[in-house]
Amino acid sequence: MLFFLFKRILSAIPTLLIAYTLVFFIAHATPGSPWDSGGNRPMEPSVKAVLDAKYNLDKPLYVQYTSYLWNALKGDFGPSYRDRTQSVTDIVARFLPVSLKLGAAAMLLAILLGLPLGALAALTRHPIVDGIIRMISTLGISMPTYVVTSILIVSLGVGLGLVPTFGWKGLFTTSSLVPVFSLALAPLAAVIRCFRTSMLEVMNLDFVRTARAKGLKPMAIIIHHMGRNALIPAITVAGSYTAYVLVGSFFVESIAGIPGFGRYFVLAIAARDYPVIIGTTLIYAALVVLINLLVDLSYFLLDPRARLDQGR
Amino acid sequence: MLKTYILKAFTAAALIATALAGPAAATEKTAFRMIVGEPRYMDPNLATDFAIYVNAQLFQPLARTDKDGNLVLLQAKSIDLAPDGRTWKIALNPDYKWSNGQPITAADWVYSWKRILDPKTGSEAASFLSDVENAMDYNKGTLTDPEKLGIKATGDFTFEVVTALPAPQFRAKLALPYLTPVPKAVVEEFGEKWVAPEHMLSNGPYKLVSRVNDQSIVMEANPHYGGKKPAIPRIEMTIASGDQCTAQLRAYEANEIDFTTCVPSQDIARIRQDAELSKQLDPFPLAATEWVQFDMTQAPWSDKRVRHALALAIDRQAIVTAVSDGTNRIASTIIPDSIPGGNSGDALKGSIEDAKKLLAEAGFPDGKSFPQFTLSTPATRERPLIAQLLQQMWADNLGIQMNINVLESNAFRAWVQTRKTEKYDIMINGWWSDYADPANWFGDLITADVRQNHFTNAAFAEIVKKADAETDPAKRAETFREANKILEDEQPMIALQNPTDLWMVKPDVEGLAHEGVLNMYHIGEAAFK
Repeated sequence: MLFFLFKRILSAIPTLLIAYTLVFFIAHATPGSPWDSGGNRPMEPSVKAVLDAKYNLDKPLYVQYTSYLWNALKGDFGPSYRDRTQSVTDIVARFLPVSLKLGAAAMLLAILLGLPLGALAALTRHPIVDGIIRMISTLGISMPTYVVTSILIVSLGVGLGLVPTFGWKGLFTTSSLVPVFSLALAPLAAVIRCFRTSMLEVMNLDFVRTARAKGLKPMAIIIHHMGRNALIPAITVAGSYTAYVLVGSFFVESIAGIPGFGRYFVLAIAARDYPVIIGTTLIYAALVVLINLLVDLSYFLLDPRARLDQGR
Repeated sequence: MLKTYILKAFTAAALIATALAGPAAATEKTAFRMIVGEPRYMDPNLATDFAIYVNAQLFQPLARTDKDGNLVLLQAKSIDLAPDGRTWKIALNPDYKWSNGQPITAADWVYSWKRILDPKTGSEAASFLSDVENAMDYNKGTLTDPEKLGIKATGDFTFEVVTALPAPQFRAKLALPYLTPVPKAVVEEFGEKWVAPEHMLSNGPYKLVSRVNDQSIVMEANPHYGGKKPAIPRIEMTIASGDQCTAQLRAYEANEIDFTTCVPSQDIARIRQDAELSKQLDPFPLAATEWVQFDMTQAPWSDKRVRHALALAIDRQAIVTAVSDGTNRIASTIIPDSIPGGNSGDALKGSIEDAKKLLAEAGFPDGKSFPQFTLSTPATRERPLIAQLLQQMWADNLGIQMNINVLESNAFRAWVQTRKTEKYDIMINGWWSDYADPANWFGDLITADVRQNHFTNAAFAEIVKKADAETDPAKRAETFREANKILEDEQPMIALQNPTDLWMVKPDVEGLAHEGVLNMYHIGEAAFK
């Protein structure tokens, strides 16, 4: 177990280094500079030169590459060009918690709704119930989040006036309803489909039949015998969505006006804010690595076979 | 069927959640609510993008220009031009104080303007002070002594600005929102962090109370403001990103905000047909032009007949209708009529038949053997649509084929800059008046070739130079008019439309007026009915 952990953490280093290298060169290769946004007139070359010098953009690219990496290792992800009063660290500290809260709420909703619905879809023989559940899961997978968010805002916000159309007042306010629903829809659909499939597979296996024959209560069989065994694929799917949902969706946050990590990332790209683009990508990558690790660790808890495999 | 099921489910969930969250508080009108973009800078010495609209509630220049180009004094008690035509003597009105009650002195003004020119500041507003003696040498770093700049305090509340040459256009620049004071002591103490709400001092009708980056900006009336006290005590701005027009309109229709500064093109027709909403629509024709321009150094664009043919084959009305439901105005000339020297009477005249004839004369009858060419356009607003319309019109009317190259807006700006040395075919571009003077168009735009049009014409340059130095406004406009005739005959750009800003204002707000060429708004002058 410890060896497994050690191995996984060690293998994260080249992953992050590759992510850094890619994002660094892609960001710098993107046409346009941080100083090309803004007003009516192009920036004076002399002003541009001053700003380039101030942020080391006048140095050769390999020097920028190594010096940023060195500073990042020391925990300094640089200043933001788009907002000179903030550093990347400030930005992460301010915007990531909003996305984390939103994502956690969305994942919670997806799992709490997804597992029972998935189980219900597998167990029920009622065509309408099965149909509705399948419809939700199909819609969730096929409708892009920006469409869902826009439809929800226009219908619930502009049409019915139930929720604000824009902005963020905290997780436990109506302003979080639309973004949480929109974010939850895709993982919800995935959890339903996945759990439904694996429940169907497990349903007719020998140990379930044995349990039934023993005269256990149906609920106990569903939860302890079927559910636990069917959970592993669903956890894997949920895990892969967790990274994407927690760090914030670009579309949902931009459309619903949520000052989160995802929206800031989009703004940074539009502004060619290199330190923010690189810093936030690195943090995103680190989170993905961490969450995948946690998902793998959860197998140990759920599946004795995994414990056995890795223990060797 | 499926859709209604889903909608019902969501509606029910939302209803429950709303019930849990408690009833919404009844709205009392004490705050003016709106949605703005995140200001890149709150520092008035640095802000040049739409942040100036946010800043204009906090910071105030010396004066404003009225419709006729005359100065209406604000922070200045008097502005006098000495007989030499170069020395502007400015006396400040000591009634105006910083938001903590301290006096705004000439030292603050001089410090601010020199800070704009300081190359270390890296301010894009420096070009607005380019007329000042030694300004550009100092800004480019060839002169390092700020004492040599033509900006000097002559007393506690008086200062003097000397321009290098007689510069009549400097009068209009004195009213620019970029040229405000900053509190010298505070800026020196806190550096870039001086704009934080706990440090910032402002000289305008409002002061900054709180700012959460990318989330909100709150302002309250500045108790020490020397002008008419604002009737609205508080402004609450929510920050949007991306498509602000859509966010604004949705929030406006849901009654969450009192004011929108634009309407998305696809919604204009619906708003104009709505009995209630159409009354709240407040259009303002901008001193701005969008055009399609040529690389004048390249064939076939260097042939005037080709430029004329392409210009005459355009249906501007169709463009304006398609992109703005007819709210933008068709532009037949590059310089808008509202700019002295501009005159739509100088527009190129002719029919599509004339266009065909001209193209044939240039060696391309029915568009035959006309080279394949590319039109480049930024992916902003309606420009890609304009590109498609032009493609269609030129193919139908002249038989020529065009490719379209759409670039992300920053990439487009960078691409335009590299056209200084690299060739291109044609592009869509535009110009917004920076200040109310023809020099901003004939000089800053055309002669300075900021859009990489590469238009050179000795007679035009000569006339513009003469007009620039002319101090009599009537004679000045007349001289610029001569230049305008040359410009329209040459057609380095084909003017397409003058954009219109579409505001929407809630019926209970009064006194919110469009101001100046930049279409500023001043919430301090508005009130709730």
